[in-house]
Amino acid sequence: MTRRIAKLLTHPWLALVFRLYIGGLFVYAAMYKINYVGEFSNTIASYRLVPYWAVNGLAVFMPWTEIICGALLILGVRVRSAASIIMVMLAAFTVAIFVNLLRGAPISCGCFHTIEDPISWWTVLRDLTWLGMTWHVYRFDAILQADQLFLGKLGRLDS
Amino acid sequence: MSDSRDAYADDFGFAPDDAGRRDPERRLFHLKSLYDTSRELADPAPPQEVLRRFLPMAMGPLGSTFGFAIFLHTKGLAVESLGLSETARNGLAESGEILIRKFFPEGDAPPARAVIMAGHHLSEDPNLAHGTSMVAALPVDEEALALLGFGTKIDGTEYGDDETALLRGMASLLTAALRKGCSEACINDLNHRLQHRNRQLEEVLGQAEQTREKLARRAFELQALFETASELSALNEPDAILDAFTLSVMGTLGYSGGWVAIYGHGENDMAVSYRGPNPEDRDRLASGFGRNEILARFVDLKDRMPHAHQCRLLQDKEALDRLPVPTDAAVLFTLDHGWRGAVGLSSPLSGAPLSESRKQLLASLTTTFTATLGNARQLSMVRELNSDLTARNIELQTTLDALTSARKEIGLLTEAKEGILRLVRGEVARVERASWLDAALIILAGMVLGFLFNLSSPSGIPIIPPHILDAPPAMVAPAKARQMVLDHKAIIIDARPSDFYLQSHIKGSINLPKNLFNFVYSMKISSLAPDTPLVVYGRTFSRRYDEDVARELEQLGHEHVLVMDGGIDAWQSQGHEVEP
Repeated sequence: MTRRIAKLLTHPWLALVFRLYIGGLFVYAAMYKINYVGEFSNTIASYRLVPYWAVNGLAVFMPWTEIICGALLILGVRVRSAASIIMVMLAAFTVAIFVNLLRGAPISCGCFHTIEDPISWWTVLRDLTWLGMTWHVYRFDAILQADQLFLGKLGRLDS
Repeated sequence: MSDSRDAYADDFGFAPDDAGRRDPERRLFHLKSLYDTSRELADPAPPQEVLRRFLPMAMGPLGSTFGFAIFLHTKGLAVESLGLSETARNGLAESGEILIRKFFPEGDAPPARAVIMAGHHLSEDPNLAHGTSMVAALPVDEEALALLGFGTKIDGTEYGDDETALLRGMASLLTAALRKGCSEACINDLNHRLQHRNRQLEEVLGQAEQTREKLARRAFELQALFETASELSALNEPDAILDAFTLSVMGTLGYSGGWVAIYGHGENDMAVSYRGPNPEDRDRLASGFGRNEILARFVDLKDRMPHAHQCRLLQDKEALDRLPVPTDAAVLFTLDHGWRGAVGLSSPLSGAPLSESRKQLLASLTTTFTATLGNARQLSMVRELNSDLTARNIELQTTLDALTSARKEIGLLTEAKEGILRLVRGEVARVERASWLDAALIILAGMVLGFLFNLSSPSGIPIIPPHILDAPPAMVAPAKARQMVLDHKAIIIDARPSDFYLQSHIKGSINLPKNLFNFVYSMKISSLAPDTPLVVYGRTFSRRYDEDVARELEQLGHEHVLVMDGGIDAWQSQGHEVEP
């Protein structure tokens, strides 16, 4: 039973579901941030973790990194690299939320919209869940990858 | 006259004695006998003939019953007799030399004049003929001696002084005649020798002439060989050598027509050179018929068939007639590699057939020709081989160049393949694992796209805060600010977002966040006098809310806008009131 559960939890199809979900989530989240970069800049500043001179730059660049990584996950291109970057970003978000929860900062998450519910431990749990999903993708994803469709065949040239 | 007659008589043994004077007739007879004898011996003759003539001339006046004469010369012994038997004559012939040596002992000088001996005691000598009564020994010369012997007189008397004197005179005549005869014989002998030598000389001269002619002929042949060899050696092409040799052999041997033909193994392997009046002969030589007829002559030779670089004269007239063209002289020859041929000559200019020496010359010329032709053919083969070798070398070089180019190309392709494989392996590996390069590329792409979009978007923001390098506004310490508030001289403005203001703020402060600046300003601050001191606070690690709001207020005309140093944290740390 345990093996069966383990096999089910580590199944590539589950990784594909997680991959499409996380990819779509990041594309969706980035769309808002790209269109309202000023507001996203204030959100980053509200966390009080990024230096004054780097807040605007991070607000400009990070949404595009998110949307690229999300798109790569959806398409199945460079899945592990994209998943790695997403894991790093989710880990940073989680740490930022965790720190501000400890500070008692009255800020919202700012993940999808400017006006949201204030951050909470549920927010941390949610981000950790997403982080786990991304790790699952990194570890077990193996099907419907555009990379494999081409490079998998090229790889047989070496044999 | 009397003195001369006496001298003459003395020379011939007639001394003028009284007896002589008493018998003039006898003396006249003796003189006449001497005269007759001298006349008889006047003609030169050999000693044998002289003796034969002398004996009757002496025996008559002497009245001898027989007479003999022995003549000893270096050439031999001659005996002549008259009135003697054959036996007695043979005995004289056997004992002649002994008799001579009795009168002329060896080692003694011969007497100057004839020695005459007479008497019956002579008959006792066994070597003399029986009855010999008088002998006379005559020293003819240093190499010739003579002995005369006479038998008894017919009248039975002994020889007297007159006879002795007469014999002395006759001996003188005989001596002179014998000397003359010896000289004549010597002269004749010399003549014979001279004639013999002349004949030998003529023979030698004839032989020398023949030798000279042979040498001239040989020189001509060698000259012809040399010129032919020189002419042929300057040529390298086989066809040119054939033509040159045909003309050369025709000119050398004096023929108006000539041809040379060589044939190989194949039906078309042939070369023909023809000089003559009939062009059809050339076609006949160059035809299969001509080839078969000439090669058939080799078969006729059987075991005498010439080997490689040898030639053989066709001596048989029938064989010459069976050649494909009219030919008077021909030589068959064999080259190397199975090639055979023939040289033919026709219509001699002299009309005479070739002599043996000219035939040998023809054979020698043909040998020279075959050697030169063989060398030319070898040279031609070497040239062809060199040409083939050069072509093969060019082909080989081209092939080597192509191989080298192909090898380089293969090397490049191999390197390209390795590169592609490395790239594929790298790409496959990158697909299967997280790559720093991919991460960097993704982040770089995000930065570039973000920068470009922000640059072109109307809602774009400055990447770097615009007032980061501007001079900070006037600062005020929290204590000073509190005093200014207590003195009702200043208004404290909280520039932080509303959530932070609601969480905690300085008591009595007005929340003026930048996103609501215009609304709040018009409601609460626009009515204040421009010279009212405004103390702004609200700075965090990530945003300088206080500086932003202070600059806005200054731009709206407020003259005393101050930023509180340290913000609410400094204010609170000094124990001042905050709310809620």
